[in-house]
Amino acid sequence: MSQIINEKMAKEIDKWVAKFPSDKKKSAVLMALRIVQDEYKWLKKEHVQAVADYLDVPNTEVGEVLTFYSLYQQKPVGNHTVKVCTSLSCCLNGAYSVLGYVENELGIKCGQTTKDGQITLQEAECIAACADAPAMIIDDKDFYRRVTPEKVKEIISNIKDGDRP
Amino acid sequence: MTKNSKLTVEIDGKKLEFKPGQSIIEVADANGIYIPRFCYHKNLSVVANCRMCLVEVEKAPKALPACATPVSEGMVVKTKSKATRLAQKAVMEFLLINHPLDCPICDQGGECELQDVSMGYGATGSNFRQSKRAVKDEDLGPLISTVMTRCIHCTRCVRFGREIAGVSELGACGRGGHMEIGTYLKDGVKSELSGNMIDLCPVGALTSKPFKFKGRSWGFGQHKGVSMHDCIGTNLFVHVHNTNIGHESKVMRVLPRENDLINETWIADRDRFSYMGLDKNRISQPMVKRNGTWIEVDWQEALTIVAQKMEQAKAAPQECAMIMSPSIPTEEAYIANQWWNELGMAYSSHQIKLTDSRDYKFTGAPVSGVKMSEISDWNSLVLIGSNPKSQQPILGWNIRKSQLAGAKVTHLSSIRNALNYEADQIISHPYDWLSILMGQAKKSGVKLDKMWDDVPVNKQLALTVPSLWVLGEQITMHPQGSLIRYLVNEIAKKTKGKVLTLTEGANTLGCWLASDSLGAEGVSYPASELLSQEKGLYWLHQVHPEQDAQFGAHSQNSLDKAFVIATNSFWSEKMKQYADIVLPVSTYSEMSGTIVNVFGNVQKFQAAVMPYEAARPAWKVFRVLGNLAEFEGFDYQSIDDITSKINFDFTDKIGYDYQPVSVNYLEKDGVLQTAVTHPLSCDAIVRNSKPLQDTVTQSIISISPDTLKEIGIDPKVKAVSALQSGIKRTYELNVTDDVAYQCAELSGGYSQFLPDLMAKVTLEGIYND
Amino acid sequence: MNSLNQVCLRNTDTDQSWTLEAYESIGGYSAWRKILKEKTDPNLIIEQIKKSGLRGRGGAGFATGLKWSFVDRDNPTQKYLVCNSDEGEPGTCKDTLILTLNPHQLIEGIAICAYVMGATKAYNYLRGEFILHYKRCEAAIKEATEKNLLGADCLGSGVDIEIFNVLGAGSYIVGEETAMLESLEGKRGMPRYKPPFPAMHGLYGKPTTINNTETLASVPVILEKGADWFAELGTERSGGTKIFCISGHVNKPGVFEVPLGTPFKDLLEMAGGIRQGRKLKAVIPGGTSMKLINANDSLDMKMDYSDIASKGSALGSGGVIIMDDSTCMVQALCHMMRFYEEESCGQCTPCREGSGWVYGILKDMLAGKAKPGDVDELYRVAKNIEGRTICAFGEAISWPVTSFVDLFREEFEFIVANNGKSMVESKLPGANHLAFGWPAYEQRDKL
Ligand SMILES: Cc1cc2nc3c(=O)[nH]c(=O)nc-3n(C[C@H](O)[C@H](O)[C@H](O)COP(=O)(O)O)c2cc1C
Ligand code: SF4
Ligand code: FES
Repeated sequence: MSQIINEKMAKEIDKWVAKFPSDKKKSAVLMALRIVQDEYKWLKKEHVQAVADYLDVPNTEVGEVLTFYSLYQQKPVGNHTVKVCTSLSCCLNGAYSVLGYVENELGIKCGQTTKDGQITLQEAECIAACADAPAMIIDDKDFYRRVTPEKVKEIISNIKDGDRP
Repeated sequence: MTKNSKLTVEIDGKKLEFKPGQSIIEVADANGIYIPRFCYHKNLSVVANCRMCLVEVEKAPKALPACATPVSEGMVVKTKSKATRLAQKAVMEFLLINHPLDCPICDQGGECELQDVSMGYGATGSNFRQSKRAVKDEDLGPLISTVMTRCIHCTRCVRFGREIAGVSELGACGRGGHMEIGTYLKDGVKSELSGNMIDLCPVGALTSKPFKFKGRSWGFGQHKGVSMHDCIGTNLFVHVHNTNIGHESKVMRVLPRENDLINETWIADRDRFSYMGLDKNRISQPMVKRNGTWIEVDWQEALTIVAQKMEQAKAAPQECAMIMSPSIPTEEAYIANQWWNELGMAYSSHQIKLTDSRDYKFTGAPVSGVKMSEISDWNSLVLIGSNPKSQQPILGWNIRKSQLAGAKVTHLSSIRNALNYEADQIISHPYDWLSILMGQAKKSGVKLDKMWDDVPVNKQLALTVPSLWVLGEQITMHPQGSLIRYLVNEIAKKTKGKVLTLTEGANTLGCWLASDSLGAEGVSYPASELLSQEKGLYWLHQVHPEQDAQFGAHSQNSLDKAFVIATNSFWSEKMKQYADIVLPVSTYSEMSGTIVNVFGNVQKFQAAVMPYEAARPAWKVFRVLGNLAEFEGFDYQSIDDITSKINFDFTDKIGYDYQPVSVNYLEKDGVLQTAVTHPLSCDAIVRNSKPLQDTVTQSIISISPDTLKEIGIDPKVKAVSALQSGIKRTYELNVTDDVAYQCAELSGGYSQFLPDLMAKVTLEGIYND
Repeated sequence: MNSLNQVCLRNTDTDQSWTLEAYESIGGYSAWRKILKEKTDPNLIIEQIKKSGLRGRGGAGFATGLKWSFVDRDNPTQKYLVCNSDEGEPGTCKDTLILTLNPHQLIEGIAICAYVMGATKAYNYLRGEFILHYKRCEAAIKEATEKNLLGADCLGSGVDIEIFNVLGAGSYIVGEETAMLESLEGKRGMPRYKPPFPAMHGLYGKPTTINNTETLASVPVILEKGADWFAELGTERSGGTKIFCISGHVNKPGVFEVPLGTPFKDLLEMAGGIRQGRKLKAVIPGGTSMKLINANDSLDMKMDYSDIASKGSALGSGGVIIMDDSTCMVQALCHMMRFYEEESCGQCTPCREGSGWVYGILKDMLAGKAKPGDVDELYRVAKNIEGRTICAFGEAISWPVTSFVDLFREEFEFIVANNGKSMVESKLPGANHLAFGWPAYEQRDKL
């Protein structure tokens, strides 16, 4: 067992490997990266190598995948990511004002991480919440719809209070 | 439609025939109609990403990529119409907006597909005002130089790696306009075919590092060459400075010459970059050793001294042996043997590594009647003691191709090879191979004489039949080589298989034909035998036995004691010690000749440059020696006169018809060092090519845990010392189950290799760091 | 309005609608049970689907029955079905509801389609952020498998069907069907050139059918209630219902499943009309990849495939984006083009190079750096992309640009002539929401 992929992660990855034909382990690369990222928050070269070794895929091919999909973080990020959708529907409904509130609340600019390393703020492309614009997504899984300045405050303080896993 | 009716498509008003499945570009290419392209390459998969080949097709709503659109009956294609021109112009404009306009300092200048196509299809000037994309370069190693800003993302290099070389070294990272070609982890490219990416790159993003800034293609002359580094006979173009062969002429680079029967459009890195060794360590003048010091002499004096020496030596012909390289042109082998025979000498050899030659006289011409193009037709291949991927890379590619097409490949070897195809690798001690083959022979119904009874039979392991059997260098050097060849041939006969014995050097077959044409009998002595007999005089022609022979230490020992005359192009350190007279002769680039590869393709090559300093083509040297001795039949005016003496027709000389007369059983005793010739130490030219040598890594020794236990070495030690023929070297230890029990495999840099190949080694653990 | 939510969203008012119990209570899985029991001839099912007039809901609107007939069912090799739940088209948020609120109906649809194809394995590819959706779909598969509605030998019929939910990792282009196959193979989501078509050479080189979530979720209801019933819901050439997502400048943005052919006006009314009593300026009818329609044309438009096409656009994915007169069209377009520049897969030249070029010109316009003639240049570059790329992403860049310029050229000329000052803002200062936050926007481009 490599030091990077521990038993728990390996088990998770194996579950995904099992979804694909036995000679198509490569299909699990996307999720394997996600699982490793969940643990380490962002993906370094050695993580790529670990996934490559684990799934027996050339490391360049893992790197190709990593740099193609936008949910993978290639630079250091905080423990949580807050992404504000800035696609057209959200923008028409004031997404940039929302982004401004979040920036104020966190005291950082979009793209930065709070000093305590807790939260990274980023923009998201359309997250399929257009009818509930403006929208945000936290940790790439929890959707917040029709956000307002008040809601932003509450959401952020919840994260800060560790009210999230 | 009936089977015989011909399918036709109309391109530019011409009705053209096509076969089902052909694309527009294939039909156009076959008929001399040019359609511009960047991503398409006939030997790679079709991805249709550059969009340069868009053409108007009647009834299609938009222009279609000619490379990816299959033609169909009655289709009407217009490659010169307005719609086609508009599409191509648009694509060209997109390609150029982010391409630097640095053609004057680009090595691709003059042979850049982008430059050519933009002349024909581009617009003049563009309104693009944003800043151009800049891409960081990456160090891909000693062979390939990168300027990635010039990349047009055709992905030919990426596809080449995955499809042909079988390694994903280069890939595309990032997406959209941020996509970059490179290796993600920045670990360079290592494939033995990597240089082909230089040819494939349509722009100057990937260029030859050794050739960097060395010249412009339009100043070069081009000569037809054939690779001299393995038995495949890859076709080459040798590019030289100065179109006329003049004194300053110099080999500038080597490129593949297309030959669909042998190497398609590919060549190995070894064939591409060996030219960098052509001018290194050369012998520039005839020299004689007097009182231990080397003195330069002129040719006349040198040849007179040699003639006198040989006149004396004639008295004891049993004491003289000529060892020649198996990679010399056929003509050279012919005239050298002719002269040696005339002198009355008995021993000569061009089989520098052949160990067990009991079957040699019965084998006929060393050709297997197998063609390269046939390899991918086999459903099963069994390789014994052979790893073509590293030893004969173009053959390696053909085996990979065969495997990709569904063939089963089995390797019988002492180590698990790092392959680029799927294979069943049976790891076993070379001394067990005979037993495995005996088991198979019995299964296949081969009747074995009583004398085989002493050898144990392995009944468990079944090999696949019918197969193409490929025997490599470990069989050439195997003390039971003749028995293995016998069994494999018998099995093949019973099971509709064929045998491909990979021969030494580039021209074993040619050398054989040369001797055969002379009717010479005495040429079959394996060099290892001659070199261990401590003869009084050795004539070495284009070999350095201390590096080229199987038993380097023994060889050197004999040479140290003997009088040694060498006709060679290159010095070696040891040769300076053991030789007494050296005569500088031409390398392949400086002469013409004919070589015959293991498939029987007879191929001529041309002199590309003038001989180095005082060096002369060896055939002229032997001619003069013949003349000085006043032998008849040495009045050749040109090399063609020699060529015409040689009978290249071997059709009725093929066949293996050997009945063993004795069976030697080998006890496994201690540890066998199983390494074969390092692919980058196969001859002096390659050994002198710095860029190639720069790719060589530190060597390590691989041993299995049970072997270590047997010889009492703690598997935790970092290093071991290895002793062979009095020479001791230290290696980093790699403990692995991938090496057979009682075997030790060396890999990495050849200069740290032990002197003897396939020979016993004594190992000791190094405990205190 | 009683004609609302009759097909894919028919159960969304039910309590815990995503459970098997809730789904079965409204007749769920009856079509599938019937098929398993009667071993219905797959050709008959294809006939039904053809008759229903169901067309692909993923964007291209390809006739589903016809698509299903392409796979050679008798080919003994492994065949696959892929459900496209990537929902990436900006302005679209419909599959998200099916996946969270009605997963069983989708699974029933997948099972039926797989049965028709002779595919024993199906993948439901969800976009990477759909974690809740994924969990609901996993739970649904588990429930259905426990009842042997899925798995080996379903209900003793001899039919084997396995469905796997998989997650993407953030890429719009993966919604393109062949890019999705690449992604399922663990590669970069780069579309493949066709031919060969997925029906012959799809996932792992095997025959594969790809359908959108909404398309597949419609299937059980068609078989339950009859092809005629479904066809009659819609118009002559656009059978059934369609989920529209109304977003942008409306009072009550939302998701509505309505019969095809519903007048746009009615839809706008359901969404509460234009906000703050402003005037309608333009409509994107089917996700941002489709052409823009001006206010007049949209107001007498019927929401079906042919009528929208007759207005020069397409129904696409049903993502209807409403823009009122406070919208600066240059800013809106620049915004959209930033998305396409970001999401181009990068393999083919016109899209890779053109997406950045188009976006660059628009940025120059907003920054006041544009030169006279840049509007024509923008138009020309966009036109040069159209029809020259591997996949329809090229059109997704080209169509918005050309339609925006065609309809609102004066705004583009104005901004070029006035050093980046927007015509809308000079008329309605402060009203344009797109104008907020430009600094952040520029900042991100630098990252
Ligand atoms: C750039 C691009 C993005 C697409 N994104 C999606 C998507 O997110 N979801 C979807 O269902 N179809 C998407 N499609 C359409 C699919 O390629 C395909 O046509 C569809 O999944 C087929 O299903 P249908 O026939 O049921 O509509 C996209 C197409 C393109 C060209
Ligand atoms: S059009 Fe764009 S997204 Fe589609 S294949 Fe080409 S580069 Fe990729
Ligand atoms: S050569 Fe056809 S698209 Fe590149």
